[in-house]
Amino acid sequence: MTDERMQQLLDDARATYRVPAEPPLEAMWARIEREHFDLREGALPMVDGTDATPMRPARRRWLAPFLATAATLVIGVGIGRVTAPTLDAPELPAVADATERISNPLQRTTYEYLDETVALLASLPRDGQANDAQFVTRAARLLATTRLLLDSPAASEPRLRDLLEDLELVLAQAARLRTQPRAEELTFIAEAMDERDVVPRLRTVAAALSTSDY
Amino acid sequence: MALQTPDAGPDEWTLITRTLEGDRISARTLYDRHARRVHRLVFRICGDEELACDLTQDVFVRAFGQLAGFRGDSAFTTWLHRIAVTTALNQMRKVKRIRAHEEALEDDDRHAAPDREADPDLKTRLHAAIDALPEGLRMTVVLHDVEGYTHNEIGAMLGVAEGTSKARLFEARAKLRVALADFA
Repeated sequence: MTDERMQQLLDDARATYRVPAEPPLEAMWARIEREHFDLREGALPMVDGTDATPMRPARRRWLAPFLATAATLVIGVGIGRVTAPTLDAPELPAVADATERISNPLQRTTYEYLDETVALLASLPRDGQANDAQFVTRAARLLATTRLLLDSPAASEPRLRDLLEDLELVLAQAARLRTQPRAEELTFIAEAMDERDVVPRLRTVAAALSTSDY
Repeated sequence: MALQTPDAGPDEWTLITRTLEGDRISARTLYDRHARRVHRLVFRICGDEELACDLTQDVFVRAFGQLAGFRGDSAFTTWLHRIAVTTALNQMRKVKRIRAHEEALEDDDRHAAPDREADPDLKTRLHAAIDALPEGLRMTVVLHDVEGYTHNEIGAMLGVAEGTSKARLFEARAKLRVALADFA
């Protein structure tokens, strides 16, 4: 086949290769608006149509620069310690012990978020098992927290950012689980966790945070 | 934030700024301008209508969430499409094993050697040959030959050097030629 003929074919592919049907733009926008705006503004609509307790009150705009600076100082320093080589998947200390040791509220919150995420992922329903009623609610709340952390200066630390991005994908799927999840849905989540070693990395980061002392 | 006006134009910058301030109408306008293209791009990567819709939503949620980090170093479209490619590839890695399992359950005829008489459509053969390329090569063909991105843009999207993108395209085209050899 000549180069010219091949080029003709590829040019043609621009118009013919995998041409999608018209997407449901309105329905898609509804979810985007809900996840981007509503979650950030405090309301937490769930996939099953019920409302959950707001994750946190909407932040006052004038506080934003101060919070950003505080986050940089607190989370940034804490996460910096995480970059040191650590053992694979250490066991997490008891939350009470760890939070007692962690004097800074933001660092403690981050640790608690990671600890709660470990617990949530451990309670992922098995094939054929129904969801715990709170599972999706917790997943959605943790997903929102993940996104806030991704948007914070903490995400400039590559190791934590990688972890948060993987958690975002896992939690986004977990937050969409039906009451009686399909095996395929559960497999997606389990594979996403396995392929990226999500839980061991999560434990490693959380353990490092729990031992950081300011 | 020093905003340089990229080729997105001042209107787009106004929309971005307003979106950052929480203006839903501006966010919706950005979405309306770009959603179809993003949807087509992720569909061409994943080949599944339902997944493409999910991915498109994920792309915009993530893009709006990261909008404050957009500095205008590249066009907004390039930045957005980079997120789309990354999101789609991450998701594809997750579904890859499932797909392989599903395909194994399908009719063996699908995997039989192509029969020119049974499948005379060259376009169809080309599409199948593109689909059969290894992921890195297929992505390069889709982004360069189908979507029209430059090697520089592809390098940025896939996190590879521009030269790597060129080499992949060369290799991909060689494989496509082999796959279509009986049509020469």
